[in-house]
Amino acid sequence: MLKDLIGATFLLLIALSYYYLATGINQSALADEIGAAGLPVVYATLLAGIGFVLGAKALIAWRFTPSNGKHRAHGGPQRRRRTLLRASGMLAIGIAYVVAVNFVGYLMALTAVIALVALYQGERMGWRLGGIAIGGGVAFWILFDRVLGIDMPSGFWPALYGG
Amino acid sequence: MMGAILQGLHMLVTTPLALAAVAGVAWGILGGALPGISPSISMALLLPFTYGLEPTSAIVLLASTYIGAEYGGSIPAILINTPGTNAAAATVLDGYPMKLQGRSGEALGISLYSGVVGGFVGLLMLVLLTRPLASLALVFTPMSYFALGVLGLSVIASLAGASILKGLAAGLLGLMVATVGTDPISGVSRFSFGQPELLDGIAPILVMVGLFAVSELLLQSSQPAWDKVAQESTTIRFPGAPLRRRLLKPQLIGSVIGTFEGVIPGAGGTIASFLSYNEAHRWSNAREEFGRGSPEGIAAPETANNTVAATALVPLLSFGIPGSNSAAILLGGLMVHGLLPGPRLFEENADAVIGLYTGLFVANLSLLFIGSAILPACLWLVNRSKGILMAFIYALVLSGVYTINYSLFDVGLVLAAGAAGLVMRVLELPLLPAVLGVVLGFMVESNYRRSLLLSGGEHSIFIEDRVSAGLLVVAALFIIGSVGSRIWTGLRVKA
Repeated sequence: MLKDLIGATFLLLIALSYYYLATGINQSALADEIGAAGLPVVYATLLAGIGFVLGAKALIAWRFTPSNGKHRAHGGPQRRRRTLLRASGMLAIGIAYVVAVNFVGYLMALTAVIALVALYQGERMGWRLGGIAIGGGVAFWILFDRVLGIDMPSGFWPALYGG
Repeated sequence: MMGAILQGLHMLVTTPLALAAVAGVAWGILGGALPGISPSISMALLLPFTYGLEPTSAIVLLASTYIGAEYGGSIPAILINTPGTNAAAATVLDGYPMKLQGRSGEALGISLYSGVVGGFVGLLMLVLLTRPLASLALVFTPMSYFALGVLGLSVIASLAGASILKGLAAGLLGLMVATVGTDPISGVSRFSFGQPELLDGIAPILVMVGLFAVSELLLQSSQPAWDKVAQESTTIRFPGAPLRRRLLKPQLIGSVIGTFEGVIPGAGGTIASFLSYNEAHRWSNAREEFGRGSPEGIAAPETANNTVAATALVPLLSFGIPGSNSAAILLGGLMVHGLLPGPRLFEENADAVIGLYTGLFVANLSLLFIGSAILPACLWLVNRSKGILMAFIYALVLSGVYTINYSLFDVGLVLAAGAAGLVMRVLELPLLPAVLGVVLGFMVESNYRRSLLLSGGEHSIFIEDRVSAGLLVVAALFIIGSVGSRIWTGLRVKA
């Protein structure tokens, strides 16, 4: 129920933000009767309605089944929080890759991703992990950059060697 | 017919079709064998790599992955009591007891053999049903396309999972994503925040890879590692003639149910597997063996889920309606190569369709051999450290997505879609309705507005157009049927 309440709030927030942005869409002289903002406004309104109904249902269920709510309040949210926290770490590694890859180059950034994800998942730091990460990075670089001919970001290395 | 067969054979020797089929099956088995990596995730991981391929080989690669993954899912189901895919959950019921009796090789053989039987039946049904259905769409107008989009969205009623409201919310979120970019009628920019990368909208492929593959990786980061496989169980034993005769009945049940469930958008392999298991149990002469290691208990669901792998393409190829996660990914693959499902696909890209059928034939045939040959590799992979595997899959996603447009912005979008997918999973908002919204949103909006331009704003045009009216009625019946079945199930549970 708490989860549904959070979900309903999340949907309402999205609906409101989307509605606000939709009403700000410029009108074109070429616009039809519906207009560029027409369906987005309908979608936002429908989503807000669903969010409202889901929230109301969750509140009613919360009010009339206190024992169930108590049970969930102890078990579910902690698991959810742990899931989201663990996932945030993984996501942060991905974002760091996007930010860093243009500077350090694909090979180094991907090697770091492999090492960091493995460490984050509980692998022990050591020569074995280092070897796997470097081997993996090189294998991916050979596959994408050399074999498939995709121009992966090379970072500062070409400048360093006058390339 | 003969001409098509000859053309298919010609394509086999002049294009890398066979290679794509074999590679797809192998990749699918490996992906399916890893618990948590569903067929759609295996396909999503491969999607970026199809850009550089010639269209037919790309589609065959993806479709073969689906076929391979359906069998691959049964490997951990039998060996470690953990289904590699949702559809393999029914296989656990008799597969694992057979393993405990020291009959794992026999169980894997039955699974593989039945999967191949199901695959061929499904392919036959796909060939027979798709073209006649697609020809209906030859007379389509903008009103009909709008109604077709609505019909596609009506599938949400059966895909919504536990809550139809959550399914609708997810579908709306997808429709909202589909509005990003340049407006199809007036040309003004919407929700692009000044980013030139967003002017063309958000490609469905990026949303699919994010929602399915990245969100699963993020979710898996907090899940415990799966069990290891004992190394002695590495040889597949195919059923002998007496057992093959005994398996005929459950395979027939699996084929029939798989055909119906595959053709109906939203039903999918998991439901087909459990229904087939149930019916095979009901019609069996050895009911007491079910749940204790019955070969029939493996044959029925495995035939069903591999039949679905082919018949799920019927609504996709005929009307462009993806009825499952895997079909949605395949639609993404078709769109990437400019192939639009429907009658025009059969008229303008007949080669691609014949190539797809030929590729699926090769894929099913090769499943028999690759399924046996690749088992040691699957066991090796399942026994690797989960952390290392996740690291490599993450690296594959980050690298593969970049290759689509050589854009780090796309990689960021995929990560954002992954985060959104994770939040949706945690809040129990189903993912497939969101994908349907993204895929069908543009078609629904552009044809709705074009129709109203034609009619001068009169909505009655959707009823006056016979095809549109028919499709809207079917959509309404589909929604009423799904909602009615939910209410009926609820009442039965209460009783």
